[in-house]
Amino acid sequence: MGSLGSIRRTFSPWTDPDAPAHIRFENITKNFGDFTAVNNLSLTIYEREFFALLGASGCGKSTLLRMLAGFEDPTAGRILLDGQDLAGIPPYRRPVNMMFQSYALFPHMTVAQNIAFGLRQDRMPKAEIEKRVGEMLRLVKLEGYEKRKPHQLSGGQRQRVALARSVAKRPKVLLLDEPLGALDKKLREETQFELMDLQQDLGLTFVVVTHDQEEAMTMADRIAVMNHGEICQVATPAEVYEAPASRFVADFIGNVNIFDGIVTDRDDTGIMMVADGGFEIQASNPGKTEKGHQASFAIRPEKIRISAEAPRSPDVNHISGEVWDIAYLGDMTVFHVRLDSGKIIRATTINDARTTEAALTWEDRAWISFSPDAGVVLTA
Amino acid sequence: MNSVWSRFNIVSVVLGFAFLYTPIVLLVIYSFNESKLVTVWAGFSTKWYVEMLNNRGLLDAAWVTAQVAFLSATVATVLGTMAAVVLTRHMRFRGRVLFTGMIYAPLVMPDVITGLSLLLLFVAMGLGRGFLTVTLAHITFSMCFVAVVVQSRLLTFDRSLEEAAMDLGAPPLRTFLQITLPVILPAVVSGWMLAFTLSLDDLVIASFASGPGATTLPMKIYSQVRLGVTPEINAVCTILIAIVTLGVIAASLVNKRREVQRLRDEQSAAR
Amino acid sequence: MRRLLSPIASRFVIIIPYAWLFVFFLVPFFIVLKISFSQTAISMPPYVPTFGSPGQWWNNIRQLGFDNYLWIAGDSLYVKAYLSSVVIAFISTVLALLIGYPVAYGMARAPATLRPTLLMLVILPFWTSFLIRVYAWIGILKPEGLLNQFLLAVGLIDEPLIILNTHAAIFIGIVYSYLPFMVLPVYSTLEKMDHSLIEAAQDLGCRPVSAFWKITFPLSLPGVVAGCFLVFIPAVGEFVIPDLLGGSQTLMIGKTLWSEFFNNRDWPVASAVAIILLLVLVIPIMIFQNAQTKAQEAGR
Repeated sequence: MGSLGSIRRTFSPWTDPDAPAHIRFENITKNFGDFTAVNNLSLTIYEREFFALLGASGCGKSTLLRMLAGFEDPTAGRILLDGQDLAGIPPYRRPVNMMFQSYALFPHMTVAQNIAFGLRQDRMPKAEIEKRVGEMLRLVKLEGYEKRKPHQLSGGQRQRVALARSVAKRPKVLLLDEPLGALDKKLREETQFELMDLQQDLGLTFVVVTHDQEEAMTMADRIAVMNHGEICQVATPAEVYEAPASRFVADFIGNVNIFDGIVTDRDDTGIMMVADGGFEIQASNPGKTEKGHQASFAIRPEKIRISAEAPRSPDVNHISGEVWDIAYLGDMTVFHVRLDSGKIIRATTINDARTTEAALTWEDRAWISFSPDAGVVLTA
Repeated sequence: MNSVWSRFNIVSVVLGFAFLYTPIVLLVIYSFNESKLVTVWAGFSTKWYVEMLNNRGLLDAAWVTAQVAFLSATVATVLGTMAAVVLTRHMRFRGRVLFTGMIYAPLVMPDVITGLSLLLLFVAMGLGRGFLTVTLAHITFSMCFVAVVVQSRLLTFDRSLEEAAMDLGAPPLRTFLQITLPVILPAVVSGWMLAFTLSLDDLVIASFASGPGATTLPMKIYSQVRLGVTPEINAVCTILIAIVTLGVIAASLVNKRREVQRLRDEQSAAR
Repeated sequence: MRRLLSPIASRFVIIIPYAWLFVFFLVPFFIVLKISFSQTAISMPPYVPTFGSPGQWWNNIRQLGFDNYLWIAGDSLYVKAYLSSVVIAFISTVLALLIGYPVAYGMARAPATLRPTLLMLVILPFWTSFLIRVYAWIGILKPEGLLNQFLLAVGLIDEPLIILNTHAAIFIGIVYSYLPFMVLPVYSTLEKMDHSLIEAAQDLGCRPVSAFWKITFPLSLPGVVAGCFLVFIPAVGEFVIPDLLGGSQTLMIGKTLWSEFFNNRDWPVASAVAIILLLVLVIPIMIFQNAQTKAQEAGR
């Protein structure tokens, strides 16, 4: 597992048991009337980390962020920032700043006044404010726009003003609530990389809330996948993708094929299981399975090979079906193969050559195959 | 809706507006009538305006009205804005239902009842009726109108602006003064204007709540109208109409210009 | 959601307007209620300062009873005044709807560039003094007034029409004064309406006139209902219009209350009249509030 997700090998404080916690949520619960938005949640975030809270709307991720900012008080539990309990500290005294989903730019103030707002609250000397505002404008590449009002800016420019305003005070933590949600797709992708660079340059801790898994995967050092007010998994993007902790995570992030079955044999190196339709699967990581019990095997579409002939090697899992649908997406082709049990399997092939003589077409018989370590065994 | 503006539509709109405006236009025209008989045209003259300016009682009443309107509109705006904040922001406190009721009830309460009840209160309090009591009465009913105007603006106010200000270190009161108030200011201003004209126009409540020495302009006009239509009153009315009309038109022009400017800015920003 | 203000400051914000309305709206209302149950005999002439201290005054009105209400119920004048107020307000409301609806409809179908101006022209009279607008009609409606002059000159009539000091003048006055209240809500529902609904109806074979009655009018009903209540409710308690245009023989309750108070100086009866007027208005106000809430919920 350690070999997975070590793209930034140099930065992984979560693997170090002695690393000091920057932000700690301890058994946090938040109720709104009868509704439990966050349920007994604990989480540690480290300094300089780019941390993403990922989940569908209503999963409690925004509530968690708003509790950290001080806009909501936890019903139970406590939040520590560098060891200090934040309970009772109002938002305007927390060393934490937030970039709002709507940007919340003050419409009656110019760009410069917006950026200076937080600094003025700290009664910073005028000259210093001016200098800092200039710095911030350079940082977000908006020099020359200081006199404009928010409504005179494009969506992308507004987003950058909001960003500059929230980092101007050099907070310990920057909270970003769906920071790119209002931008169109192309601009969003560019901005993702800009945000990462900015975080590196400033050396701040970023906590971003998003429902967009691609965004979280691109930017974050670690991702917490949330559902119904609880955390399903906290791990690096690669771990979350390649080694999801549960069916929910596997299904939430990317596409996945899941085979449910009964474990027929198990040792420390792997298991055998029989899925519906009598399909025998050999998997190399046993997980917490028990012989004779239910288990699921989850495998990503790109890790399934598809061929017209049965694979030769006997230790490869394989089963045949009928080509049900083909979707050509340019960079890859998606096949839907209908197994004889009726189950539809999704498999993708990379189109690495320009001319692909389609080996398979609709209603052809086809074989799908995958090696024992291509997927994960799940019990949850 | 966008479709043909049929002849029927045009005729009904024209007739409707003719109905709305003819009486006012006639009143203005006949204020320039030479004759003492209001309904007989005897040539153009501004003598009734001169007459009006020499009428002490009328001018005194106008001065009282201006003071009452200014004072009551200002206090009503402060109280009404506070009430609007309570209505939109404080969803749970003891007595909220009663509070909401007390804001909306005066809007539909007949003037005669409001006037009578306030008079009885002032008598019970042993408060001599005059300038103070009219002002108090006007504050009370116009603050409810201000509250409704400001409340409707606050309902569409993006609360994340306030959160952003607090997040950047502004304590609540400063957040309200530096962020919320400037943003809702147009609504507060139109609330003030509404309160001012309500006070300027009110006859019934003022008649109950006022006493000797604090006769307001509508009271004065009313007492003269009961004696018959005079060109002098026409002149006073014309001036009042002119003031209000200019005020409303100016306000709407300012609004419109701001709106046009904003649209233009947005278009150029979107490239 | 964390409160915007600290607990002390937010309590302050609540208490000030609350206390104000409590003292100047709720308390007076209960005083009216209490006086309405007190004896007519101890009524106080308003301009005589000899009725002593407030304490004494309270002692005087301690003997409570339903006498004033019985008196009002027994006197056909009051009963007639209530009835005729409601009838006059109702007829005026119907007239305002008949006149206001075509105006609102015409405005809604006007070119989009013209609409804001038309809207402002409807609102403008609302800002000018009510009293002045009613006063303006006196010069028009009286026997030697401008309307009669005009009609005589055109030759439509041979002798002046008597309009002033009749019910007709009151209808004209109420419709004129409250027309914007009818036009605005109707206009706003019509303006929001999707015109493709009419096109769809016509596409499905509906003729324009029946498309109006089957599509446009039903959809504008919320505006019509709001407009009717906005005219009816204030018209019932109206004082200025019946007083200036209706003359001495028209009975409307607002006028009765006024003269009971200022001319007869009978405060207890005036208070009882006020309380009954409120009771008359409570039902339409409740229906109106209910309809408004429903419309708001449907709009969401």
